[in-house]
Amino acid sequence: MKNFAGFPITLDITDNIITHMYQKKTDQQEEIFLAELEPELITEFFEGTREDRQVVKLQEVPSNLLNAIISVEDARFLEHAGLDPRAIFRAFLANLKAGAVVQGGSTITQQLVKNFFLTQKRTLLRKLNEALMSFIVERRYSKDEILEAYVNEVYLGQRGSAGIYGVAEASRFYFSKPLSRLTLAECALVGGIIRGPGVFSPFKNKSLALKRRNLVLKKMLETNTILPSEYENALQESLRVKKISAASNSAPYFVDFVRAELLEKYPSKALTTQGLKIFTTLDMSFQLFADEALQSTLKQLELQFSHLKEDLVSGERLQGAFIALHPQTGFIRALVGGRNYNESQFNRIIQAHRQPGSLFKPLVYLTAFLEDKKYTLASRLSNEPFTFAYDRQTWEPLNYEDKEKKEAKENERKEVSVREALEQSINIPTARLATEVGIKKLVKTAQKLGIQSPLPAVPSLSLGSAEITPLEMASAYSILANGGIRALPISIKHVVGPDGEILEGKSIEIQKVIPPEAPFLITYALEGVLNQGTGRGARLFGFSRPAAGKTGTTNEYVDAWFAGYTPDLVGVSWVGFDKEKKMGLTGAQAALPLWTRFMMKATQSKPEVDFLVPENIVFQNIDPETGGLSTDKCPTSFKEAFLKGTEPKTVCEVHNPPKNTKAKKK
Amino acid sequence: MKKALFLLSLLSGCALFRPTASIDDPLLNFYTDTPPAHTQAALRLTERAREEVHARKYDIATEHLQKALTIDPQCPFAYYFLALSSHHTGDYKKSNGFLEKAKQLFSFSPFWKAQSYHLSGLNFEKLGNKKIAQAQFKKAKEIDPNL
Repeated sequence: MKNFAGFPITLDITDNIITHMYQKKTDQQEEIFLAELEPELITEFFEGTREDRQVVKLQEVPSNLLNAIISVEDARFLEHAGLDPRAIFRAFLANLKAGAVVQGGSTITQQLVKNFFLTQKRTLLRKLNEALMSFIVERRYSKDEILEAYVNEVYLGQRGSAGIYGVAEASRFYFSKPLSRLTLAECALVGGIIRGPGVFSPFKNKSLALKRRNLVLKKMLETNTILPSEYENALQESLRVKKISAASNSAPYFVDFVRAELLEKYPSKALTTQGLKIFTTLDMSFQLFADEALQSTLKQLELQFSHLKEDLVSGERLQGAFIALHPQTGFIRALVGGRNYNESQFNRIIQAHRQPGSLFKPLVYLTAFLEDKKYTLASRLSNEPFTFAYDRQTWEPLNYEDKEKKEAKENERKEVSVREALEQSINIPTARLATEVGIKKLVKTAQKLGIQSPLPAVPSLSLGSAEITPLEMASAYSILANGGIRALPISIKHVVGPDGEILEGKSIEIQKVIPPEAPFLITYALEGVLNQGTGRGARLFGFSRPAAGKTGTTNEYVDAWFAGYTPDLVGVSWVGFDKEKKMGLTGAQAALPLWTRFMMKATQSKPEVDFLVPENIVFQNIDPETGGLSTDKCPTSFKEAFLKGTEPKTVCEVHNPPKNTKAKKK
Repeated sequence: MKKALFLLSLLSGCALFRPTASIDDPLLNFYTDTPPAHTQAALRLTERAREEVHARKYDIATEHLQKALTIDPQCPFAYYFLALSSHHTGDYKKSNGFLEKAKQLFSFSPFWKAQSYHLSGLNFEKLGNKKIAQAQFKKAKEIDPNL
């Protein structure tokens, strides 16, 4: 039986939402107006960089490990008084011979002093300080105390941006086991790594690590801390390291992003020493969904397509990234910058500038709707190849099928509607429209939507040739989801001081950048992408909520994108290789599954809402083939959205020919 | 006949004296149908924030209103009171940003839509743009002549 502390409360729940909370007080219930749950801790900042460290007592450190460290780092540790003249002389000779500082004669005490109090710079003044302070430390503290501090302080490697400090953390990092279970050979390896974690890490170079381990074992034998039989047995032990365990923080890329933002206002020291609490916009369950979706999608793709598996020579792996934004507030709800933070801290959401391909097309149509009322979703556009001349150059866009076959498809239609061009992501009509409307105007629209990367005003921009980050794309699609209103993406809500005072509160900031009608028309067409266009895979996967989205695939199938949104959540997924090599998959094949997996989980307990229809939007039943008003005679009919005043006024002439035409035919 | 005229004048008089809506009314009263649970939760937080705005506790009000928006991002009242809070702290441009969203979402309530235009007019006045301010006041009157 468990004992619960606290006070009894009653909850009223409707539609999975807690609507009221009451605290029971004697014979009556008093309503608790607002209960703030303690937010989940993502991670903590330590001085300098983030550190992972477990502090242990000297008695908890295996004697083999202590002997290994002393043998290889400072064989006369128990004899000297902080400085080892013999070691200094040996280092002096080595440096003289090399004509540069190549060896140090530092004792364990000197290393400790340097790590605690001094810089890593090799200068004569620092060396003198180090010697003096070592001498003082030896006078004040026992050898055991110095050794205990050293084994807890020593730097032993790097897990992502977090340093591995102390032998206990190193044991967990390299062997996934506690110190007490380290074998002699493993102790020798940990001791050997101290000299150069970047060089002797078994994760970086196994053969160098093995050589170093055997050297330490030899030194231990020479200093009589192990028996010859123990030495022989340890040499036979193969180097078994456990793959680096996952970082202790569930949102490492987001934490880096927040940290970078904080460093613009607070000195690094303040973040680590002043006990600040940073409240962020991240939703931890969304973050976990995003990470799960990314891992399972990439794994699935590698299983399905063998050419995507890890290149064992270069070590290059298929990568992915995902961001989820709340369009109304700009809150970043989830951010996964890559597949494995320990392997690569490159945050692809904010640092990877990649071509968005067809993800950019909605901006072309948006520009057309904003600039000229003659364009509607039912407007007909030519799908015939054309050549566009500009700045003494020519440009001839092709449709995807044409690019693959190097010839026009015979059954390709000569004319398509704006809706079809968007739903099926057809290049030629999009490019033609962009040249008609004006590329400079397209650049202007993109900038209004928050795209800050350079956008060369060339016609291929319309098909997504400019390099843009996923964060910028998410920001642009947020404006489509939010009726033309831009909410600046934010990651920090407020910074609280050690006494609970709010040092900085970041309030949401929104601004109307375009009228709501044009983004609604785009949204209405992008709903079609999911329902019957290139993104229909999301529906087949079981995602049935009102949602809009667009696939993106770049030349040579290098990048796969999907950007999509419900009225309350925007998600952008990217899949590809960092080195921009051919992946051979479309956005629908590689990025859409990631987006769908996330959205299904993230929205499952949220109320279903529809997109807000602006006042100046009207709906008309039209014949999709002609764009005219449909009648009973038309084989198909479609409810299309129009800006008031731009709706068709005449019926479809193909299926309802004027009477005099009929007469003539007769 | 006289009796009928008397009754008619009485009825029209009642209409004249019917209490007009106020920005301090319970927010739930402005919905014709009971809104979904998440909207109700957001409204309760917004009402709390409204009191805080009146008490000039703008920081805490903003925090509650932002929380209301994470519960129901389509809650127009939260945007309105964020705008009011920003207006009181002198951030008129920011206030207008919130009002743009409020105007979009207040299609169900002419009273609040007009209030949003009116506040927007006040912001533009403070920003020195009298022409746009007048247009906003005019629009507010068109939507709700009682304003």
